[in-house]
Amino acid sequence: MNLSAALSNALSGLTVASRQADLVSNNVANALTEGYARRDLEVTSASVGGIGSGARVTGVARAAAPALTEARRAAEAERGQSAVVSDARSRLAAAVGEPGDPQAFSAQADRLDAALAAAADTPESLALLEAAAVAAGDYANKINRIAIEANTLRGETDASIAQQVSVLNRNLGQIESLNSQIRAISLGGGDSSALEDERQRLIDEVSGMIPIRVIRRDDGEVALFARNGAQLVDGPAFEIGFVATPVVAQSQTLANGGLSGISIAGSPIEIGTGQPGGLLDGGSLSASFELRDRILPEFLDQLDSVASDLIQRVEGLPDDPTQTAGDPGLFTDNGAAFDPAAVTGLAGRLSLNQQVDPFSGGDPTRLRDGLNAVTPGEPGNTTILRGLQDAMAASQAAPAGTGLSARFGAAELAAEVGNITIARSRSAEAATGLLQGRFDGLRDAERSATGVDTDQELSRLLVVEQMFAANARVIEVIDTLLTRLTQI
Amino acid sequence: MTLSSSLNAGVAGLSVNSSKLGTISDNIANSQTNGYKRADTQFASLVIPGSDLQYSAGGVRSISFRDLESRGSLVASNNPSDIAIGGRGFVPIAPSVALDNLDGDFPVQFTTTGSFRPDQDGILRTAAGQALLGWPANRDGTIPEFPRDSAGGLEPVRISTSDLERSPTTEIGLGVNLPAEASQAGASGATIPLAIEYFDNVGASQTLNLSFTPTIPATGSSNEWTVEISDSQADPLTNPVASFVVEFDDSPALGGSIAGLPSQTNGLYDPATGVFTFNVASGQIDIDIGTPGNSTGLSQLSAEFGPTGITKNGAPVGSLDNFVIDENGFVQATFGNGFTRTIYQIPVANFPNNNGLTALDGQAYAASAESGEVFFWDAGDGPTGAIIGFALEESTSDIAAELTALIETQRAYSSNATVIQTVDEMLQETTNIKR
Repeated sequence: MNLSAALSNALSGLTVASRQADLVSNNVANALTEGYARRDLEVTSASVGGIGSGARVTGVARAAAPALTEARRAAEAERGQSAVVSDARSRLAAAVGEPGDPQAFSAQADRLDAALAAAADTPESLALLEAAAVAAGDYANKINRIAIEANTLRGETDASIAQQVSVLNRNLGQIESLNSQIRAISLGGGDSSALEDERQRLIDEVSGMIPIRVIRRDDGEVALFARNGAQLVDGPAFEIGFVATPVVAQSQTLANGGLSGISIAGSPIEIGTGQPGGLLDGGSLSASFELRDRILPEFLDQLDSVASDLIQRVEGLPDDPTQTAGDPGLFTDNGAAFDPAAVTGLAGRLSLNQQVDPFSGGDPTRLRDGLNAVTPGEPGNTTILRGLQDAMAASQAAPAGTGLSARFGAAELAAEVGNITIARSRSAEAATGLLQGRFDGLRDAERSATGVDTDQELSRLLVVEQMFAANARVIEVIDTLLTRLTQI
Repeated sequence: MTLSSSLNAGVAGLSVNSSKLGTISDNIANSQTNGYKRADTQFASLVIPGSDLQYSAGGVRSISFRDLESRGSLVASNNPSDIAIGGRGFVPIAPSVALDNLDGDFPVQFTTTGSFRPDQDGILRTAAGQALLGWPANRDGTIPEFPRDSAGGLEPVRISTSDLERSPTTEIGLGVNLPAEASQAGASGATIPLAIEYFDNVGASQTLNLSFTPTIPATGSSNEWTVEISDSQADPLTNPVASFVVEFDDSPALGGSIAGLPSQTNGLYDPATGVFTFNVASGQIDIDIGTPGNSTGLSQLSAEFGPTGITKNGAPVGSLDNFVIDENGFVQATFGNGFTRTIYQIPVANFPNNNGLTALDGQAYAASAESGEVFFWDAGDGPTGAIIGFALEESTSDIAAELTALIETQRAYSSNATVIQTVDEMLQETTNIKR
């Protein structure tokens, strides 16, 4: 009889109201959860055999703003790429030293010039000679330390690439298995929103390292491609291959096989070359490769050129009668003379000639008397000292490795290289700041589109309460009618 | 003497009203039984031929019948195998005792609705043990021809969740953009790799490795690419299994789309459909690369390499997850790999005279001589109604009508009892004539 149809309609209304309350409570509980997207209930009217029979829940919808999410991910990748480079450049700038810092590269070069001039003015003063020798030793040490810092940075970059690749492989594998779980649940008609939240979090982690494009496939699955076309997950996950090099020496490069490149599923991919079209370019992974294979080697080449210019200036001075051809000058390549075939790594090997260095048994008076002098000479002899001073101040063409084309003295060259490093670091930091601001703005916009607004949820709850009460009232009335029937 | 006929009429009235009370009580007792058809009692008068001078009461007799033409209202449920018929017709079922017959024969009964659930063997049964019958489908999902005027070919519907199903890949759609700068003079000429997963005849995952190599001219751009297809399950010496050279258009109207395929090896390209057909170890695969002049499929535009439009059919091996019975009576099973296949069809039986069916326990009816010959239709065809899943048909008995009939029957019964009482008193008077 038709009263029982009315009863089952009211019952379906109660079921829908209680599901709605369940969803509202879930949303409010997760209002502060990072990466949680608001859930909404999809309800439709049910009909059986053409006659309406109440309401039915067809599924749970997860709020999504695909355009904002894609823009936010692109901004995140660009920021990651810029941040890697700007962090490294600011460390190089710190190693070189800001202007005004007495330990700065250019300040030490100036101090060496001043000490040589003072010693040349008063050659009989042992203290001034010693001060000049110490200044020269400090200058060589400063160049050493900058080179060590750059090489350490290169080794850390290689290690960070290895770590990024392992995070990528782990995330891509988990995305593949989440894909099949979500497909199984959605085919069975269940609610896969929690798994989709987890998958979105993993994709966000990947997108900071490689800029990606997400393509939706059937049954809730997704495929991941790098923005420039490399396949990451398309059905199965593609393995990214990289071999870490535990100790990175300056002579090891990608080209000569000393360092590992990157490969996807076994086929090698070019990355971080600076050319457009690299399949994995655009995120922090390609920025790390660019740092390891281009930026840091360029900087180390600059330093090596400065060191080679320095050695060559003070080698073979005509004013020094104690020196023969082939002898090392004031600055040596670890004790040996300058070898044009061994420029790589020279900045790390640059040292003060042992004959002069007071800390390793040398005598600073040799600055005045000649590097290989056996006995002290005339205290008033300024020839060699002036020769040294002139050699240091001589304006010569900048060596090819520095990338400069004007003519510089030794201290001026040092100052110029230092300024270039600091300027590049400043511009990299400014670029990163801009990109960070853009990323923050997009992330906030995405959150407000897909996050939970507790006011809205609570007002929804009021409506649910009324709906539940109304359906319960219908059931009560039907019960009264049936009771009345049996009282006939 | 007419008094005794009156007594007989009164007694007859008592018995027909008690029979009517029987049908009323049966209807009320079964008012919540799904699929129950209400029983009704109708009275017919008996006439004894007599003369005008003396009237002899003939009495009354009752005929009870079950109204099988009536249809109850439908109520929704959430079990996919709760079925009801939205119209005329019956579904075939078999009683539980008959299914254990060793010779495999079983009598076929009919019902209009039932709540079927898989039992320990996967056979869909009601709570009373009746099994749903249907025509089994072939391995590829089509239903073969079965005789429609007899119950031969019907067998119990079995849903076995450990069934595995495979679906090999036969079609692949290639929606890939090749960067236009790579085929210009001065470009590096590097090969771009692409891996596509496909499924072979036993459901295993294999890989097609495609490589796109541009032709670098001396000047200008060649717009020509060589595509080589290698199969992971083939002998490495025989790779690539197929290849073709594709030339792209750079005219103002059709720039970026395919102009043609100057050469093909081990495969055939049909420009009308845009399909390149070649063979892998497990059979033929059709790759849709697009027709000349269209922008779907392969394209060469000045954008980055984008393998984002790749589609394919086929699925890995999956087990039976779920099933629904659709309105044409087809039992569609969904497998874990997303593949669906028809496994049974439930036909709907129609009789010329529904009310002539013999009623049995459990809302089941059997064919008899009065009902006429059975004919099995596809659900929804002919006079039969569609099969509605997730629904049950309610009982056709209306409590309000039964209760009012109850009042009438009670009054009629007491009236007949009063008649008997009066006849008894009148007979008593008669015997008191002679003291």
